[in-house]
Amino acid sequence: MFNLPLDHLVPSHIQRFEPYQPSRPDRELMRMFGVDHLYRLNNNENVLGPPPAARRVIEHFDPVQWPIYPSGDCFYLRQALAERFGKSPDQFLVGNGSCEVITSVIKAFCEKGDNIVTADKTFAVYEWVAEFSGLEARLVPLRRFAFDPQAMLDAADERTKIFFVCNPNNPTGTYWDSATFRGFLEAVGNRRIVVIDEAYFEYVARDDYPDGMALMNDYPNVVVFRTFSKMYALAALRVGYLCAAAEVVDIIRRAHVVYSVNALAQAAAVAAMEDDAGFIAATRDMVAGARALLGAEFENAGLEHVSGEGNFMMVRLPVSDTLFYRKMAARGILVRTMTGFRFPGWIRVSLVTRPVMEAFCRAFREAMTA
Amino acid sequence: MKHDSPPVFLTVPADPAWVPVVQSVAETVARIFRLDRTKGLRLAMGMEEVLLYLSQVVPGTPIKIEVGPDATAVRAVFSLDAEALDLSAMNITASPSLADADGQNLPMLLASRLSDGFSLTRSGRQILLTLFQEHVYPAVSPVETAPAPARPPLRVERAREASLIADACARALGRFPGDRLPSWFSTPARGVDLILAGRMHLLLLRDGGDAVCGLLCWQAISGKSIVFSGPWLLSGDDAGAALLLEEMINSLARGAAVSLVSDPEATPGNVDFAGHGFELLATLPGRAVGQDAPADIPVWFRHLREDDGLNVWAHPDFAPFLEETYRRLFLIRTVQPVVETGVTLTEPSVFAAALNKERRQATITPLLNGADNRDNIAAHLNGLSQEGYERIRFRIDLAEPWQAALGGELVRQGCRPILVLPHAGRADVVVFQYV
Repeated sequence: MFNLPLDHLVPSHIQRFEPYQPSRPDRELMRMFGVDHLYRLNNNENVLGPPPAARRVIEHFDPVQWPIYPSGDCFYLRQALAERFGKSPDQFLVGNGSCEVITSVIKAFCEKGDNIVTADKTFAVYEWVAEFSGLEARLVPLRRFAFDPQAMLDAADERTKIFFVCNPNNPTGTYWDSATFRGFLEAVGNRRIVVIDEAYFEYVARDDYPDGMALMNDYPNVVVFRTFSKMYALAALRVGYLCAAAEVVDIIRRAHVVYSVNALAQAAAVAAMEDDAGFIAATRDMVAGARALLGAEFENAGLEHVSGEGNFMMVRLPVSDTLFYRKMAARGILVRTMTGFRFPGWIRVSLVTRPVMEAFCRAFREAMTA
Repeated sequence: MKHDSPPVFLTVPADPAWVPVVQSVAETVARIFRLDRTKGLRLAMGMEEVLLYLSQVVPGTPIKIEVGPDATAVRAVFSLDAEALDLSAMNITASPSLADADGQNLPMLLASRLSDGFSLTRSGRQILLTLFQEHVYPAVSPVETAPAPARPPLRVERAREASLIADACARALGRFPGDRLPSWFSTPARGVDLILAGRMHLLLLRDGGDAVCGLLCWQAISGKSIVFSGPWLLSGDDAGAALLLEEMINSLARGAAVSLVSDPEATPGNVDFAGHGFELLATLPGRAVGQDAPADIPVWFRHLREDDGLNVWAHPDFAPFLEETYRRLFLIRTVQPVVETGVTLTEPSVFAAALNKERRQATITPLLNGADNRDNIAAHLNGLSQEGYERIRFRIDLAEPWQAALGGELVRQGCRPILVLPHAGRADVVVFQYV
């Protein structure tokens, strides 16, 4: 008989918070849906796998290293990042995926009564971490599928500590161009932190797309997030990082757990950046081809779709997204329902290799008429 | 009504000498929480009767009692450890009988009849018995207004302001048949209490002139399932239905709920739910109050996130219905046949009954498994039929093998499964109707 009076132990903001329910593992899903294969188009993974150098590091990870603790502050990875981006190693902080650095930033700057400002239809983790930390997340509606700079500014007050801008935005793929971002940063001034989440940075090849690492030279309150989970296809190893002014990083490190990134992940991330131009170009080509194929498919079906930057597209269905998910899963294809992103009736589809995209199109047509 | 007031706790032995203490606590709590005077007396009497009964059957046992507010009611929770306890007098079909010559069960019979509702759970040796006394709320009269098109721009807002809610309810009552609306619309203050307690959520659709031109409300019926009612559109068009539905879904999008279902008792007939991305869960046989012609009631549903699947128990007599439903809805379920345990039960069963005399509908929920399940089902079916209830429904939680086994007995006694409510209990709930 469970007889622990949790109500008296647990803070009210934790009692109110609903824990995130991740999807079941593939093997479970295959069993549940009775399929012998599963194309994962739900998490924006890069199916080309990690770049060759990273793959070699993973395949030949020396067993001698297994009993040894990793570098607690990702020493060599920060060196490599500094060299790659022309920064100091002290300007980088590496975490167990981006979620950990999101948590560290919020812990470092916010206290009871503070709030963060972000969009209502974006990556959910900023909102979640704020809420389970007992902070208010102020959610600003998107405007034409994009973050609305003026509405973000209007939502802020004297207790706003951090703006979170996902650029390009997951799931819409829209982005603020350089002029928009600079205008926003000018309006914010230097009294609040502005986080620019560039999880899909390497997918964007637009001239007017701003590089957050360059912006921080002029705006010391900018903190940039990037990850090795998307373009570099190391999602299983969980490596995300932030870059900011050294003084800002010094503050965030105080709220950050050391030793959270394992040795294999650190080594693979270093290797992933070696000679990666060809790999990135090949991935971008794959995504462009997939975007064209799916765009035509949705056009032919007369369906509204949103196709910005990043390796994903959104499409609005004439039925519920959650029903369509079940129909597609029963055909061996996982898509991401968008109700959780507050886009009910939409799905997000990851853009991958042509054979898989063609399989998606066949299943899509079947599910639409089933 | 103050919703965050803490309850009062006391522990007394099951002994008649302690009745005055319990009585005094009940009367004080009723006064503090502004329970109507008559209801306060009924609360005190009901609690007194429970303690008297326990004094007879488990004398001296420590009884933990918690009395406090419960949104629209005051509740009293009795908690005790007992190997076996005859609570059959809580059944609505119970009556004083010759078999109970010494009147031992009479206090429980009185306690259940004095209460507006009760619940009962057993976990191992621990028994929790809860009695409810509902507050008395003033009724509003319908306000009839000529429907006029809503003036753009439309907006949706969360409702918490009592006078605005009361006005919207009165106008809804003037526009729709009262028996199709949520019952709280006729006593809006009850709805306000539910909202302030966080038990219910209400959206209002306002137009460019600030007029309220639509309502939509929802409540959790389990940790993973939400039931909603609306959109009730007060203007002459269906403008705003999509706004209300989308706002509700977005409000729930990052919560724990998996399943969103329209209220079978209160769903507007003039909204194209399929066009708003809802799936048809079932069509229930129904009849509007005062009408002889049958009027089928569609029940609409959508998932709010991926459904990870469930194991559910089923008796072979209704397993085909379940499997067909799951196949049609693409719901991933592992249906496990119930096995006859061979264990002999000694305690009698207890069922809770929610009665709606106006709609001539009774909904029965099994609370305690018992040796007399078959007879108890028959007693409920016969007794309620004789009292003029036309729709007698049983709600069976498929997480409980003993309840699934009851489903077999229900089929044998003339009930049929009509609806599966995903995640509405600890697992899915199947609704049986007596035909």
